[in-house]
Amino acid sequence: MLDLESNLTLEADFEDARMAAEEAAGSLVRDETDGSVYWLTLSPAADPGQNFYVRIAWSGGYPHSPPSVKFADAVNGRLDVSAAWPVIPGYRPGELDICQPFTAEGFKVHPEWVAGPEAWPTSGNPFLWVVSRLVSDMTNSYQGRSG
Amino acid sequence: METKEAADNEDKKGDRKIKVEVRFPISTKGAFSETFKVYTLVGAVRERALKFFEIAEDGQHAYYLTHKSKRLDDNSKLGDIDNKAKELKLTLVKELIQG
Repeated sequence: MLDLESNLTLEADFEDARMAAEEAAGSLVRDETDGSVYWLTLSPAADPGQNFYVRIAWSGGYPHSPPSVKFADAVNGRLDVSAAWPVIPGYRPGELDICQPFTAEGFKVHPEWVAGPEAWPTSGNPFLWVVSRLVSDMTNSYQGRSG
Repeated sequence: METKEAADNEDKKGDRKIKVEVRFPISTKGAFSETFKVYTLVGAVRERALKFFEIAEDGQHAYYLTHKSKRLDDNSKLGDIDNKAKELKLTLVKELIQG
């Protein structure tokens, strides 16, 4: 469960992140049962018929820690389905993670990222940053759905 | 007040200007905002934005501008993005170049 400060900061930053998702014809909603979890629904510009569901979990606190970012087969769906993942450089459907410095999973694989140029940014609106990265990747780097 | 004819003439001469706002979500500096002529290259705007956000390119990261999530080519012109727009809202994206 998130602490009060994280909750307030997350709520304040949510609106810009939601608008960024909607500008990309997607949506961003808070999970009904877990306030640290958000569901981002996106369709790649190259294949608008495909829906992808991203679970963004700020369980480590906000904005101090990167979120866990996983693709699911539906909102509130299973997180262990590789076919729920897009093929995008740095996204690893086989490992069910995104090996980039905007996810908790990426920092786990690369502990050296904690310090230096890849360090997790706590300034500005990191929630918007994460959503912008996901939207940009889905728009510009999407290569298909994982098999 | 600008007439349509005057605006058309400005377009033909390439003198029309567009207000550009660039946001970089993880910056505390707010948005970069400046007015450019329509024939200004996206790369020039990107460089101005990087300077504003105090970012030095390092070869390990790609910094690019997006409009409605779509990556913009540095060699395209602002007028090519939306030739009717008086204002463009862009986002600066930072991406790790992985080996």
